[in-house]
Amino acid sequence: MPEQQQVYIAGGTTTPFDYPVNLQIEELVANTIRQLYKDVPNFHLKDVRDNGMVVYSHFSVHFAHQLTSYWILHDHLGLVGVPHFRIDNGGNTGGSALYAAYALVRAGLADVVPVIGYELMGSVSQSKGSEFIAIASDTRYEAMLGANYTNYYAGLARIFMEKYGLTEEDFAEIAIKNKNNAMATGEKAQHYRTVGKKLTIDDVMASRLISYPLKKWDCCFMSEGAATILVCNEKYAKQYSPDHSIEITGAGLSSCTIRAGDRYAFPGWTEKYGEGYPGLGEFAACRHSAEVAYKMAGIDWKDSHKQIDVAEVHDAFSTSEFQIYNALGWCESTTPKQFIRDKMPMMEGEIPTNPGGGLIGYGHPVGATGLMSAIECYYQLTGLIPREHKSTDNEVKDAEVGLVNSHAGTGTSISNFIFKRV
Amino acid sequence: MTKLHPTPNNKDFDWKEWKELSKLIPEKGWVWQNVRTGSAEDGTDWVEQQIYYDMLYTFRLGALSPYAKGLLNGQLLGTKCAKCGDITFPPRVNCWTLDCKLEITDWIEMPLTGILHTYTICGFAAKSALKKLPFVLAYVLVGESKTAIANILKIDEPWHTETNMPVIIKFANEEDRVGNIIDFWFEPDPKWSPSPMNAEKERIKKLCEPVYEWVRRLKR
Repeated sequence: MPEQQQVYIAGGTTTPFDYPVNLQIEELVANTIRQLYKDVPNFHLKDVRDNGMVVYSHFSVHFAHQLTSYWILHDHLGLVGVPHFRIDNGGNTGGSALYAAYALVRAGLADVVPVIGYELMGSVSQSKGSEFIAIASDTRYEAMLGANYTNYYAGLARIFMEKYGLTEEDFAEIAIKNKNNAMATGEKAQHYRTVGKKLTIDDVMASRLISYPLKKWDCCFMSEGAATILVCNEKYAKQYSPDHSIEITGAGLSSCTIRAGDRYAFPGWTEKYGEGYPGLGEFAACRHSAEVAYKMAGIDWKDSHKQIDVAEVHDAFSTSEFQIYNALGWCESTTPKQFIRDKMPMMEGEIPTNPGGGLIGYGHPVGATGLMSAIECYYQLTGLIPREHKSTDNEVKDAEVGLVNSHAGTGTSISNFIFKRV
Repeated sequence: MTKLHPTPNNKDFDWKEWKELSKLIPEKGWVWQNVRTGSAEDGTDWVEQQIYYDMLYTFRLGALSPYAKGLLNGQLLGTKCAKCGDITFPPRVNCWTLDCKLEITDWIEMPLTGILHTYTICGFAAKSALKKLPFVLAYVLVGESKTAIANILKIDEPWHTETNMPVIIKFANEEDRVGNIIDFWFEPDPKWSPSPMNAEKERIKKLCEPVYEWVRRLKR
């Protein structure tokens, strides 16, 4: 019988994120694996063949103009006979694929599990792309209105803003933090590649209205790219990366309603958190999955910001990053307003968040996104920032504990992980 | 006997009529369009090909059909669980309370009034809605519903939208109704009047100006 194992990450890499990237999926993914061979010289796909599985992380069949596109990848990588499956869980596809790999290694069913994420979204026009993504909302009720996810998120942000007395500028702080952090990340980050300069609060405030309170620079952009992260047991972590491995000490996955309006008073949440939570302004699935991950890692929800050194979270919008802080428990000992005004998530703050740039700065090729967040966090905890980034301006020195968050729908599926330097 | 959603007999559908209707919207499948080639500065070749692909969807509404028929009749039908009493709109044809064990809910007519819970003023949206910009997307609690439903709020000056404002439900003319959410929308309750202009409303008004201009150009 397989025995339970501790779970590690021994390496990871992304391609540049851009729109479009002008490569097909097999070349993109082959690039990540060849880069892994360079970064982790003892790694070999033969180990995956003999003792592993592959989890593919890919969101949209519509974008891929291909069903089961990972079948193309798998034999392109020279793999036959090796178990494979694909995870799709909306924007939380990457986090959910990582969760699946974690579960496989944890359960002892596999020892080496590369998680391979990718998304090509430039196969259709940008407006068609937004429409494709909106097919993840309930098409019978929401997509037919002509709204897309930015509009839904803005509606959720409006009530959050009102509840905590926040301003557009508070959100803009988050947007420019992530854009500007990406400038230190360098050429893999979409903001660096396409805009290539730092932005200011004024830039955000002056940018085009997308959906109040969101303006253009509050939003992530459509991107393409791939990422591979190497999940394995302790034996392989020691063999591959004795000096550059982290342990996944906590993993949580939770869910909420597909239509945001249905979480106004959902019995499952009322029973757990009492009347009025989450309402439409809070991400209960984020709180719940964080509580699970924190408990596994021995972190207290209310004190979590003191016990986590660095975080990479799913900032599809500046507003949703703020809602995530609150759901992660970071504002419990203060208020959301004070949390941002004290610059807590900035590089100089207590819990630097999205030093790599996040979705707003690095990009959001859906299937690769959660893995990018995990890889950036892995670099921070293993001292690899000087090797991987253009500058060390966004390095969180001596970070020991990291949080990775991946997020889908209107908060419909959310995962949180705790990584620990070993 | 356990009550289940009935599976209607296929003989009850007029397939012939549906097939004829579908023919009026011909599907083309994969249709070759264009090819474009070139080389990047470093000599890397690239080739792009455009291929058209389409499909005609049929949405079969099954147990939700009374809701859609209600819309055609100018009614909002929600659901109520006989066991726990929860009312929801949009409808849930099985109860959401775990202890009710997916009890099949009853249809009830909802009042055409509600409270706006939250909203956004859209300056950009899906292609089909661009010419309606800027419009308000509102989440409204209709009647005693424990869920909010998203739909468009028609309001002359979108910056006057406020949380907790009372709204009424308006239906499209009978001949224009299709049994879909687009058959109805919200409007401010005629008895409601907005609070005076404030800094935020002024700001939103200013953000809307270029959107109006952009849409004017789009319509030309």
